[in-house]
Amino acid sequence: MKKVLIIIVIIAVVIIGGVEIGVTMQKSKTSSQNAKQEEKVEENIDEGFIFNDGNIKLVPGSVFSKETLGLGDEKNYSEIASCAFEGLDKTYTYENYEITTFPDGDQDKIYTIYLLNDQVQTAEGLKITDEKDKMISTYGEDYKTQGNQYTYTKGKTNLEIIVENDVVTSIQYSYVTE
Amino acid sequence: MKKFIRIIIIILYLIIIFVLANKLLSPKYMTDLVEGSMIAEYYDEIKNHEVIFIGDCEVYANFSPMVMYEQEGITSYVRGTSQQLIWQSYGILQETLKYEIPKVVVFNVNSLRYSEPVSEAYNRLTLDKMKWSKEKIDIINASMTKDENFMSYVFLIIRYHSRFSKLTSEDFEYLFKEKKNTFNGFLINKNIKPVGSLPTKKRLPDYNFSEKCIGYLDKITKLCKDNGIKLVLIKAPSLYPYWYDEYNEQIVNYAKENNLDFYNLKDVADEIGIDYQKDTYDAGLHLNLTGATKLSIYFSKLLKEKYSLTDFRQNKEVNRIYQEKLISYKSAIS
Amino acid sequence: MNILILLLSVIIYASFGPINLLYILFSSITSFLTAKYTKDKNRKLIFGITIVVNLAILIFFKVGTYSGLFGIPAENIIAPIGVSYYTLQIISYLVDVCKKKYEPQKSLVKYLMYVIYIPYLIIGPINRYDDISKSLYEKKHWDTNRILNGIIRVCWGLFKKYLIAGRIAMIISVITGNAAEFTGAYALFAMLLYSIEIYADFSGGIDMVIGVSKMFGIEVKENFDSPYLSENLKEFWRRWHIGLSSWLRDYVYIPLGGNRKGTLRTKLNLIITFVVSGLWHGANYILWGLFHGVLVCVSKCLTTKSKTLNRIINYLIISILWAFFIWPSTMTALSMIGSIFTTFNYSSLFANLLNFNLDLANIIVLIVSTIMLIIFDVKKDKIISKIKNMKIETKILLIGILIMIVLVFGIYGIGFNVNEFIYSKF
Repeated sequence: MKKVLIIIVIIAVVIIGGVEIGVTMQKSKTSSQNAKQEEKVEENIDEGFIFNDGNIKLVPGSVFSKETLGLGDEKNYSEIASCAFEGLDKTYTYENYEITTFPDGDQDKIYTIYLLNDQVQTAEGLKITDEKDKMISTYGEDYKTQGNQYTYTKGKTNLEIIVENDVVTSIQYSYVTE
Repeated sequence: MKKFIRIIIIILYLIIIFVLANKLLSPKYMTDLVEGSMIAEYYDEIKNHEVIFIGDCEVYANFSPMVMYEQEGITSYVRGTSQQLIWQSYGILQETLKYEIPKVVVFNVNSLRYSEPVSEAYNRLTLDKMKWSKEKIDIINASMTKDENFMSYVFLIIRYHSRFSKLTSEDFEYLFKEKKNTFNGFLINKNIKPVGSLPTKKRLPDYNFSEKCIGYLDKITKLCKDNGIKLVLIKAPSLYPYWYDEYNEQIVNYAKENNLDFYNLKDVADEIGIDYQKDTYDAGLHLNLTGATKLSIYFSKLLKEKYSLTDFRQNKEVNRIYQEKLISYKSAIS
Repeated sequence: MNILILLLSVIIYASFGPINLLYILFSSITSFLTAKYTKDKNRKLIFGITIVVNLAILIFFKVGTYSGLFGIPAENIIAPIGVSYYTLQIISYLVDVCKKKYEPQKSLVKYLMYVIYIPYLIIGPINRYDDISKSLYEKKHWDTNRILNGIIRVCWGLFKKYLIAGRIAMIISVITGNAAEFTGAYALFAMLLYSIEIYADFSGGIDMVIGVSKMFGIEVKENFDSPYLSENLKEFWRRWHIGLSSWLRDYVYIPLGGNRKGTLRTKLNLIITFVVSGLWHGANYILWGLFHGVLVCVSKCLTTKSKTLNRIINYLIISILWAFFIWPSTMTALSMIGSIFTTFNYSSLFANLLNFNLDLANIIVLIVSTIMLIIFDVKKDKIISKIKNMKIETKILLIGILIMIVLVFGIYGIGFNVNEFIYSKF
């Protein structure tokens, strides 16, 4: 009986030791990658959809600052309070798009980017007035629908596209808060 | 036997401590977040109202029963709460009808756009201070968001225990006493913040009200009909959040089908005399005192003409009470 | 009553997912049949096969959930709840019956109670059949004092878990949340705190198991004996997770030869035992087990004449090794241990003490409750006998006060943080 047990234990230890070493080596690769990512927490949001306007890169969920982002002065600015609670949702309207922010601690972060016309397009090349087929060929069939809206999710961002009569009428980036 | 009595006494002590801790740790809603106290103020009112308002902040910020009494002798009460969802309005109406049967119920249709609970915090403002009843249980069950549980509404300490490190003087001052923050449910706000630019009116994926919300609207309609109450639908004259034409059309049709009156008060904002540069305290979402006064004058006339309400100024007893209220109202607004 | 307890256990257990029940029934029934019907012929072989099969299931889940196995990815392998505990209980039962230490259980219902009794099935401790069977199958009778003692024990467990462990978890989550920035002093800080957290959490859970069982009249053995008062690692392992350590001693270390085969073999046996212990915790803790094994071997060299100093050294060693539990990736854990000796950012740590999710009031609660835990551990025997001799009404008062403290100061539920709700969408 003792011998049986000893053999079992030794076999188990050897097998698992082997697996452990193999896995540790694998993991060490990924964990060093992880460490790099952790260094730049902000950049993690890059995994989602990003909107580019020339050199300006807008990432839903990132800190909103006109200066660092290189945005000029907005055309329109509005603040919306919520009833009873403090805090303001701010909206900055530019020529071709509108940015809404939400307060997160002391900072404002980008909540949505709403495209206003067909002068701008998504990083992948979709713009308002494009046909639905173009949306499908650009973003695929992996969407959720609600009414006329098609929502693609990537990382912590949603790309919300409204299609009316087979034509894209609205494009919005939004940050997934949960 | 002695031992038994001692045990009973100890258990009683523990219950008292528990009740006290529960009271101390729950928010008082007396100086901060006063919106949370509105639901309970109704209970010790004299219930002789001919008009009851239900709905979200667009009723409690916009309609002043004191003005309506002064103008037309209408007795009314605003049972609005922050972000009151339609199933909450229904429950609150049911609760109100247990106390009194008004002639007219005014419902602000803004909340039809929300078919899911919006946030836990708003649930708390509406429910924490509500009296226990079957309606409250129904509302809680319909309103809980993910991660919430029913017991935390029964024993508020479960929800608020972590406030032990954030207690303020308010928590001790109002441990046993309360004060009124509204006048018949109207919350005075004298600030002025003119309407500036508003965000773009975004296109929506779906303009149709959900079946759930229409279902509750049906229930409210039926409840009023069964009790011989005239249900009046209104849309308060807020500029934001946008009240889409598609929304309006559905309500117009609903009112027609169900033989109800619907007034979109934004359409008559000019007639009422609302100046969006002076009459709102948060850039177009809610009216401030001057705006609410104008709206109340207009609306009280409309109610009086259409629904043959009693002029209680002729009723000595009622008038005496309301004159007292008016005196403190006047001093509060001046 | 026994049937009721078993039924309740099965229902609760099945509520975690009916598939769990299949595994546990397979293990219980195979072991029950083996023990009951195996005659002397081929005895060792048949028992051996049953043990190997059950052990294989355990190892499959331990390794599978870590790295995936047989082409099944790790995230698709979900271990049945309590598999680590019940498998060891079954193995100890099989080995003991095989050795004829005691008679096999004749009734399947009673045997199932031993395996499936829900309180200890989830977080342990690991019980031996001969320790627990008497009180497990005894006819239960009402005893107010015993029930109140049980409730007090449960409350004490809740106190440890929700006041102490819950708070420390909030601090540590900040530190582990940013492994790149929080190294050196922060890492050491996390390790020192984690020692308290894991003790408060685990022993608090065991307190609840023992307390609930006490209410039913079932005497579950103690699993901890003020472990951080140990002066060396060897002693620590006699006082920490006693159910597991004694199991490993009796069914791994001693069968391997124990200390009877010379110094070198003894040390090797120790190390193997600890590696098995690491594996039992999960495949990624093998290195942790190995370190413990080696350090136990040399624990004599690490002791001084001062008791207090010994305890401090011992506590430090244990804390540092918990790194493998704090940072799930072995490499991160190792680099964190390394950073203690290379990064001296203590001033930054002290400047940041109030920025770890807890405000001053909560830190004070943490400190006070931890001091209470330490006092209890030092004066355990005295306190326990005092509580046992209390009058019924005093016990009720104590329970009431403990419940109030846990309700108010415990970390649970959604905190009231208005900031969370600021953001509302229209």
